[in-house]
Amino acid sequence: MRNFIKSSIGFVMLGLLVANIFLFYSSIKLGTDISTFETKTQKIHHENVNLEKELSYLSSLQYAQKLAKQLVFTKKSSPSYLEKLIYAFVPNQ
Amino acid sequence: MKTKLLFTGFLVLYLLIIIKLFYLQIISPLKINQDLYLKSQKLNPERGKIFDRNLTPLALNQNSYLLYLEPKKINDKLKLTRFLSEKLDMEEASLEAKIDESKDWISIVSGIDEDKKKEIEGLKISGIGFESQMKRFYPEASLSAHLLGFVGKDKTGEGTGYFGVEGFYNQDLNGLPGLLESERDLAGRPIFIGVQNKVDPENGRDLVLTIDKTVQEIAKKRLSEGIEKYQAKQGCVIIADPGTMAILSLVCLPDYDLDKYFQFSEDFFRNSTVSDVYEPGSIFKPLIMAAAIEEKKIKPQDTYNETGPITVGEYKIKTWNDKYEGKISMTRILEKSSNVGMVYIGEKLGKDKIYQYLEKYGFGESTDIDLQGENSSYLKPKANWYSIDFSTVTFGQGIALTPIQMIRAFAALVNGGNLMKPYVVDKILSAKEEIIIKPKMERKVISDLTSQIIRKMLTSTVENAEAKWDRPQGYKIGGKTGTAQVPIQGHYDPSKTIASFIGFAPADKPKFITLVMLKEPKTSPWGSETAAPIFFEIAKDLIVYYSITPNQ
Repeated sequence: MRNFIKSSIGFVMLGLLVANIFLFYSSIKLGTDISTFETKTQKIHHENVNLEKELSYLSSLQYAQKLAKQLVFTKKSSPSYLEKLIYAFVPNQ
Repeated sequence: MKTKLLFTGFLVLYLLIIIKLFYLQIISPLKINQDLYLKSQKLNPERGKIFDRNLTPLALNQNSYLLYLEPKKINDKLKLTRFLSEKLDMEEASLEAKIDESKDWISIVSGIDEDKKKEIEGLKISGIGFESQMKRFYPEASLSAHLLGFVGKDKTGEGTGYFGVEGFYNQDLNGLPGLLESERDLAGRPIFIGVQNKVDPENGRDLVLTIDKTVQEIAKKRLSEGIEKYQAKQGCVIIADPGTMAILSLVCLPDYDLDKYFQFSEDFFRNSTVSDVYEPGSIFKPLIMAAAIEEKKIKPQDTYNETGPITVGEYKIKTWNDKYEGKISMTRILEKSSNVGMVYIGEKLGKDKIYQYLEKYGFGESTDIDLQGENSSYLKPKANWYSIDFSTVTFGQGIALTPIQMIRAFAALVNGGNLMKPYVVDKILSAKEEIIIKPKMERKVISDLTSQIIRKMLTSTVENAEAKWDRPQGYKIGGKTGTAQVPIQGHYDPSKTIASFIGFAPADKPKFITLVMLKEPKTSPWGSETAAPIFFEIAKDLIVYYSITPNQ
């Protein structure tokens, strides 16, 4: 009977030790997870802000004007037709 | 025996540990222990965004960084200062002077963008660090500089709005900071079983303006062309919905670069449309005309015999071109902008009524427009008015007012007689609620019938004016020109004028009202030759933009 109590106490102690180690490990892991998620959330927020900026710039009148200039969508680009010329065009004269 | 000894040994050790813990936690708790693990951090809210009426963004937030140095970690000070001065465009000497080696942390410069951060990080120089921040981003650059205002720093270094909407709605846009209290281990990881308190920050409220980005672009483009063409010192355009006085566009040139506001002097920040007072000149005439019609002192078809200059006290009042047409109708007085005709109407109306209507139109009080920096004009007490003041005020001289007051009073003439409060914010949005700003009527100034009559008279003024303009064909447009001389040291300088035009379209049911003002145009001093053509260019663009059908 005495031996049984002794070994029971030993098992309980061992169990508590394992549980303690497990809890300690779990709390560290949870802390790491929280840290990781915090970083990820921050990163996603950063990316969102960057994307919002890019999107608003691409849909802005400023960008449309810049693009129009690059693509020569200006008054200068209106075509001149040469079909009804009155005078003959002689280069270098 | 051995077991007992071991047991007693353990018991004593445990007892010692318990006594030590009791001492540390109860008898003499060390304050440093709390600070060692418990980290408190202020969580900054995001500043509210600003959108135009179609929800296209005018001011957003972008990521930026504060560059700081940790002097104790710097290995090569010379290399670091040389590199940073090149990248940050800073003087090497001033950068070196900032590095105090006795300190742990020194802030160098804020507002660094993502690309520059990556560039600096790429070289892996020890002692340089970055702290995440946010700053304003303007997708349309400085399209609405005076209207928006900018975000600068207050005395404590916190971001705060100055001028325009940023200044007026600073509290709404700022939001409320949050707080994070978190017990962390030495590696910075949260201790799960420790204190973890978080009060989330409340982000600033977003603003939806009454401004239309396209209308703003039209106004700015046409004003810029006009200033260049007529060589004016400065120019402003206000476009509003006359029924509600919701501002559709508000531009003044020259303006400033919102991103580099710190490179400009304070003069550039002044929004002349709300902050500067001026003598309106002839665009004021319809206000007195409407008052006289409302009081049944005149009718549009009444005649006045315009024979020559008239004398009031020691002053002689002439028409702008010193030409006189004899018998003319009240409408013709507006068409030819006759000063002597207006003095006649003023006399019919009477001094008391003139003053009463000036107050009714809202002169002498601020409009309470939601923009920072509004200046309310001063209307001197009636007892201080001389006879000549009552005569000159009928054609817009001897009274000073802001452009926003002028357009508000004029809008009342064409919208059925309602004096409305001008406003630029349509909605205030937050995560919890949406506040809609409704148009506010201050008071009824004239009747609907008088408003109809004055609209017809102003349409006739445009159609039969002395100057001929390139008007949009098929549309009824009403308006009035104005040329006000600038008072300098007690007299008027004829070479310096403020040329203006105020008009509305379509005349029967106005969709927009526009005030164009040019300060000291050099090609011609007259509003009819400078401000009016700009107005008609804007009107042509707006008619297309709003798909207004011809009505003539």
